[in-house]
Amino acid sequence: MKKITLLIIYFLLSTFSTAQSENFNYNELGQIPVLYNGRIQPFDSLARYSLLIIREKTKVIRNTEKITATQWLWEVFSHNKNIYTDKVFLIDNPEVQHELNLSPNRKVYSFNEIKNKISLILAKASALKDKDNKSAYETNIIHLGQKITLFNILLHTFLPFDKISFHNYFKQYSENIKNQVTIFNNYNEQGQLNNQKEKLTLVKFNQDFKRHLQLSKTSNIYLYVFTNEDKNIIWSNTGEELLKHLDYNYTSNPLIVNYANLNKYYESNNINKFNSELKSSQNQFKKILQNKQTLVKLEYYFNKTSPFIFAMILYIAVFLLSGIFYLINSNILFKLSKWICYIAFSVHSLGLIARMLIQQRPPVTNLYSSSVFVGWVAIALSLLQEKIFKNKLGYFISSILGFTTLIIAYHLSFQIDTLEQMQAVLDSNFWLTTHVITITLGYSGTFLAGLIGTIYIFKEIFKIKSIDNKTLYTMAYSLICFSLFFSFIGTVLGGIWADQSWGRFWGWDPKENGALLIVIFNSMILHFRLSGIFKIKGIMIMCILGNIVTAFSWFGVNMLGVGLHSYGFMNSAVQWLILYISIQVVIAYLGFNFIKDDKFK
Amino acid sequence: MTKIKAIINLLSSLKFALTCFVALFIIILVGTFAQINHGIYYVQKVYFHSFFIFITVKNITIPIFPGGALIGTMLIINLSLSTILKIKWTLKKSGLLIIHLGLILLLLGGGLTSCISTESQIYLEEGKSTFYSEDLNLNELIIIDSSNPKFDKLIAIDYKELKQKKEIQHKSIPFKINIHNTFDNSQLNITKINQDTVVTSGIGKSLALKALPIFTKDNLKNNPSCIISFNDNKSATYLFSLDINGTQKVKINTNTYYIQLQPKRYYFPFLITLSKFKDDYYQGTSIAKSYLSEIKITDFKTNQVQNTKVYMNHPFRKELFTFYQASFGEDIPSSVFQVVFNPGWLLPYISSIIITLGLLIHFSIHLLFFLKKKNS
Repeated sequence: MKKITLLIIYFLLSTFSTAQSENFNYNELGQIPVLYNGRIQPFDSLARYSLLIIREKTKVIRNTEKITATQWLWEVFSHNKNIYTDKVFLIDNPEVQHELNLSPNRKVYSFNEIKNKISLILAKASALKDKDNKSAYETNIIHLGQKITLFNILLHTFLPFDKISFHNYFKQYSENIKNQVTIFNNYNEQGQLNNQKEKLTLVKFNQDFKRHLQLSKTSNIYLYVFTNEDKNIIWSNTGEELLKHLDYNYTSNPLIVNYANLNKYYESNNINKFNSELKSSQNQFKKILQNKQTLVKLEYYFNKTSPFIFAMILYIAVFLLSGIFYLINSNILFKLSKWICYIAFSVHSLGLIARMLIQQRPPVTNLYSSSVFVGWVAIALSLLQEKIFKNKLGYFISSILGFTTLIIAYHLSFQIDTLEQMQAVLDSNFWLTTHVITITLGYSGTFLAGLIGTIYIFKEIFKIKSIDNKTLYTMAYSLICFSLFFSFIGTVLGGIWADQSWGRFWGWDPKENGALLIVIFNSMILHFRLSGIFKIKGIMIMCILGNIVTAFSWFGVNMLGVGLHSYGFMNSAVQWLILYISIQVVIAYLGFNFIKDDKFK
Repeated sequence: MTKIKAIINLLSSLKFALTCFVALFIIILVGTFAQINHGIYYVQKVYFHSFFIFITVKNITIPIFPGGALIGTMLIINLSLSTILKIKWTLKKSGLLIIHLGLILLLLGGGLTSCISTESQIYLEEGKSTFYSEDLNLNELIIIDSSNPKFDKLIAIDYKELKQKKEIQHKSIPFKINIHNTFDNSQLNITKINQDTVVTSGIGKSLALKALPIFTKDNLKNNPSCIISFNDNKSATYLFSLDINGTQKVKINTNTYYIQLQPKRYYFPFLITLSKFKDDYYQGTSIAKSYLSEIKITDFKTNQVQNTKVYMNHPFRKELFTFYQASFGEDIPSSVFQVVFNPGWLLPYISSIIITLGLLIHFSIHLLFFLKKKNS
């Protein structure tokens, strides 16, 4: 046990190890606060999100060296020459590859490899955007368009063009602007200029102004923060900051000076000055953001440790260990699986708590977090049942639940910023806590019951005697009661929320219907049990079919793309849902066909 | 007598309840998938608020499955009978009894709501006022009698009624309305050639009407029309249609009337004014943080003025009307309110509390028994 703990501590320490003073402090850089997508986040989050969209991975490989997302993004901001040859654009559709004359034996390409076709792709993407029933090629063109657009936005965070480095540009601009404004004012008052030089200055002034205005309108990356007269925290982008210098008495925001210096030291490879400049900009942020900066740091460490992926790996270990345990019946293996399962569950829980703290929201805010939470609750229930019934199934079941829900979450995380802001209708922590949580508790209960049903079927088919049928039945039955209770309350709370925000308690919206289906299905199971029509086998098969109902209600209705719950929509992964449903049908069929019903009622 | 007993026995049985469950499950599933191709209003009408679901094969319409209303009714009967006759009224079953009573109330409330509640909308620009809302789906024929110099008399007849009847004799008007034809959806075209239309007077004389199948998607608006004559079948015929904006002047007997087909209106006993509309977005995104309308309510009876706010998750209730922030105008600061009139709005709240309580009691009793058994 101690060894495992030590191993984990070592693992955690090694991921945090930052003591590399001879290099640029990317860890510190990764913690710099940025406002993007409507929320304050660490630089690292923006970097990872951007890479997830463009590269569909969070790391870049340059030659053989692994580059972190933060370093890559910083180099994009500062127009480092490497970024044009870094292979970051994931293009895996053969038709698109062919269209861009790319060699088909790779999947990622550099900016330079595609730059000649960029305007073509963007034009095509915007033409296809609103088309119904897109082909794979068309969807890929649109995706590539999004990747290029994002890359462009990132590239122009500091400067609207790339002929000059930011620190030089900013230095020249801030030195000359007062003179330029004076000439401009003179010209406005007198209607004439003194000489050719002033004329040229005014032309440059005009050009800069237009460029900065455009930059201020198009860039959605806000790097600079200040407090206004009303003590409100306001964020601005580079364009806005540069425009403010038109005010003759304006002194530059210290942060833009910091960024310009960082740019300079990075270019001149002055590591020490770069790192101390980072410290000073962090202090500047601290002055304005105060406690909010702690949450930004927390998010950075959350990214860095990826607790859900770590937990997922541990769940796989639990699965293997308990699998081997069932084969060779070694008590040590069982104990080991138990402890690793508890560690995995703790990491899983810590991840959830961190998310809640960072977002200042209840655990479920989107489809991604619902998956993490459904798994967490189901595991908690399974561990609780293990405590009560002690039939050595709890850790095995937990590992399956943990792995599947976290892998689903992992794949859902590609589509969105997982800590995104909530739309107006969802902006209510009260309803997110009550309605959303209770509904997901219901999901967890039915999935766990379905898994127990599955275990029953396989156990009967392979004639495993060590697990008592009656215990399995009691476990499944209590879970059905549990999920009936919570899905009913969740549905009702949803009705009340709908009555508060849309004006009707019930509107037969697909998501509402999905929730109701779970309630009806669970009460059907209870009434079938009561009527004696179904015995153990029948109830267990119904529990398995309950998986289908819940999966349909959870993901299926979102794939229909209709109704009022549009914030949960998704259109991919239909094939996965169909696969899942088919598996459940096959298991139910196996049970139906190969098992004699138990006499026990 | 034994037959009645047998029927009651059947209706109160668990098997009957399970049949209802399965039927309900199926129509919810079908009604959900139907929403891919049809709007929610149509789906509710066809699947959930109907007694039977019909299909039409070669012009013959046959019922193929019970609709939501029928299943709901059967469930109410089953629940009531089983609660009275089948479940033992003991302490152990108290939770179950409470759940079933709550369910009866919930289903009754649902039925009541679908019968009497109305949903309508108001579009208001900043500074503008209104005292009525308009239904998105229902329409009415209005007849304005302006013979009295002091006030206009307004008579409204539901389009539904026009559709069902051949002639209408309304007590407030001294003439009969003869309905020649109604079209649930139609297209009007301007034509110079008078085809063989039956319309002989009014603007309809110079319009060609093409009957269309009804649109079932929510984003497409139906254009109902009717061809009507007054007093008797042989007098001049007029065309009224939702697409014809404004009233048509019709001389009947000695009096002049102004007639129009328009969205059904619901009148409030107060005036609502949009003072201000505000929308707020997260910086640098198109994600809306909030929509908020400041409204002013002026009561017609008391003349009292009330200022209040309507925003997401915070509706405004007055005299059984509830106003919700539903949408907003893109170009000018303006607001769209969903207006719900639902006298039974409290019923689901009450019944849900009862059921939740019942579930809690029932499962707690079960859990206690289980733990007792386990310990002994």
